[in-house]
Amino acid sequence: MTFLAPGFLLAAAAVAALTVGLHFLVTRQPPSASLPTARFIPETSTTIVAAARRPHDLLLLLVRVAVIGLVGTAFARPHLAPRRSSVVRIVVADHSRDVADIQSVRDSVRRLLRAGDVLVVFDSAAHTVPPAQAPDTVATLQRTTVRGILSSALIVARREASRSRGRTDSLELDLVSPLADAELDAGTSAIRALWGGRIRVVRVVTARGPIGRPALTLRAAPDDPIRVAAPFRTRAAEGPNTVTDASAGARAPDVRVVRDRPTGADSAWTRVGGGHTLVVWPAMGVTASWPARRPADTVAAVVVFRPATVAVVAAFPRTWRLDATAGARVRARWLDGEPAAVEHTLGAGCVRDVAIGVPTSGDLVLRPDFARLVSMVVRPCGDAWDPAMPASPGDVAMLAGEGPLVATGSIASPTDEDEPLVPWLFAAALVLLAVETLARWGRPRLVALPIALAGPA
Amino acid sequence: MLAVGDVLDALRGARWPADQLVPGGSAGTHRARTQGTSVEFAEYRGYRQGDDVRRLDWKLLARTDRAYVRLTEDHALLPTTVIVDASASMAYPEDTHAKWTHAARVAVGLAAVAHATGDPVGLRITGGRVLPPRMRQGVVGDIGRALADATPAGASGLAPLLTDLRGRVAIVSDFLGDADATRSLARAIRAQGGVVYAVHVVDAEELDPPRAAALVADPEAPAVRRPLVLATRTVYQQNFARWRRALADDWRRAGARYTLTVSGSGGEPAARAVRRIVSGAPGHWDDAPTGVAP
Repeated sequence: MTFLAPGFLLAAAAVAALTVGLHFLVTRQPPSASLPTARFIPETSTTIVAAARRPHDLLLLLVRVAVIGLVGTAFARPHLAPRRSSVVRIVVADHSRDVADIQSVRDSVRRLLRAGDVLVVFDSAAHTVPPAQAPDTVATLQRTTVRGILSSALIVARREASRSRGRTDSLELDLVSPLADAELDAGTSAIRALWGGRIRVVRVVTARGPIGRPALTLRAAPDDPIRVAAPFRTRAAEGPNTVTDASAGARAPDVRVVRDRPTGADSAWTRVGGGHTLVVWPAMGVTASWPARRPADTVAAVVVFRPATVAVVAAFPRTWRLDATAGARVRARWLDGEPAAVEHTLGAGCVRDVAIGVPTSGDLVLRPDFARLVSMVVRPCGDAWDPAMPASPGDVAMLAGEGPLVATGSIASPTDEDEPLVPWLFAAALVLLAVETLARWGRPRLVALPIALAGPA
Repeated sequence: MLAVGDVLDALRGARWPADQLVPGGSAGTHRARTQGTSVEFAEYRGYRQGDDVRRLDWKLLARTDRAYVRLTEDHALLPTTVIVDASASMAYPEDTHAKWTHAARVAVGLAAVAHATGDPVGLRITGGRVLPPRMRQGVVGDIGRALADATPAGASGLAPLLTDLRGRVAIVSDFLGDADATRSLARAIRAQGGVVYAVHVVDAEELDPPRAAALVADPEAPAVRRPLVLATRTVYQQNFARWRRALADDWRRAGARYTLTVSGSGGEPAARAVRRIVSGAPGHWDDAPTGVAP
């Protein structure tokens, strides 16, 4: 048996000692004497409190001490802990869409999971699998179509750790996941820090994106610097102003990138097409329909944060001011937070306005980070087409951490911990309290007077 | 047995002169208010109509042919009555009765000094014997025996003993009884030309009671039961001192000579108390604020 709040036991012991001490104090009259001038003594109570050699009302004392002990024990929250094991594993299995091969997840979990361990599965939400259902759950685990959120899985694992603290000395957290970059969010590192020990990271293969690739069309001048960006480099030319991705799959929606003013045909293509995406990305010198920034300025960096976070530091000319209201979704922002790329739905497709000015000189377009930025910007609308990118080694190292396993003593006890003894203890205390009242019935009431009355000077 | 030998020895030669003219009467040692009957010449005064012609100094008339009357000073006795309080409150402390013993020794001392002065001496004990003033030789011994036979008990008052008294009256008591009535009668004695001495006897343990907690009771009023403990002891001493000061003031306003004497351990000898009483010297206890000897 362990006590979740042992301080109450000490408090109860102190109160019991005080009670025993009070039972050594008796109320009595002092010895009588004669004094002719007694009339000059002020009238007060004629009883005093004095110390006795033996406690009085032994039965009452025992009942009172028992009541105090029971109440103190109840407040100390005794916990009948099951047989403790040295280490309990909490296996966190990822079955989100970022997993390339779900069988590898099943195999890894089977290898890690033992009897008495805890299984947590997660995609966009995480939940604990009851121990009895863990083998079946592992055998039938299926890959879902939603993105995994690692923070929720860590929170559930933390909660399971609190629940398991009474039956083990140490806790081991095993994370079976591809660890895609998109599975981490701004709170992941802080949530990870709540786990005081290391995490065993078992990485599986990351899904490389949806099946099929979009049919990508670029309409731009022959000397447009975007042409040299990665997504367009290997594509066959369709005339002087257009290139098309020759490897585009038939199942992917089309993406049209226009570097001049979009036409009515572009709008119609977007509106009636099956999920077509029109990327309006005016080249320098092209007059766009957006409000112009006067005067135009230069900003040092742009950040694309969907589907993955890519920051490019360069002297970008900023000519337009995008409107991010009216249901528009921001895909990229300037360094000062102003939207740099927004998208909004148009009919069955969507239009993405990109106000990132690309300088015609310099090697910006040749840089890998800019190539990644371009690949993010020209993705089809919708989360389904965001590619799963592996988390950076730094993020993986952060998740794995260092140090020993987590000691259960460092984990706070859950508020909903099962304490079946507490109500019985309170009930027994109530019964004894009634006995105490009956035992006290008819006895002279203890009069509390200042002890100083009885003592010599 | 009341031992008074040491007191009588210590008071040998002491006298108790009256500090004012006494009423005329039998010839004694105190100057009387009356003139003309003794042989001690005082002065001449011119004869006035109505004077007794037997008091004319015929020789002076013959020599000067003028009538003069011869005036002389009279001396008279001052009957002295010692009243002793033998109520239960005087039997304190319970084991030694030092308060009663001290009061009795002071009473015998006063009687001896008065007798040595040539005055008749009597005794009145509350609830006990009454010895009228006598001048015979063994009266002091009679007073001593009467006091030795007395036992302080009961709650008899002093006032009944003060009726029909003249001359000098010495009241030896703790004044815890009928002090107001006693004072009223004493004021009447004063008005008749008498002299009243209030001898207040207080025991040392009443001034500074034992510090052990006790439930004390008034022997004359058993219903008065109070806890004498640390918290009430100081208040008691303050109340008692305040009462003593008020009592002394009341007696002095009534024209009596008030003297406080303390018995028991740390008190004063009876003979010294008697000398203070007859000389009218203040005692060092009289002005003690809380009853503790300064």
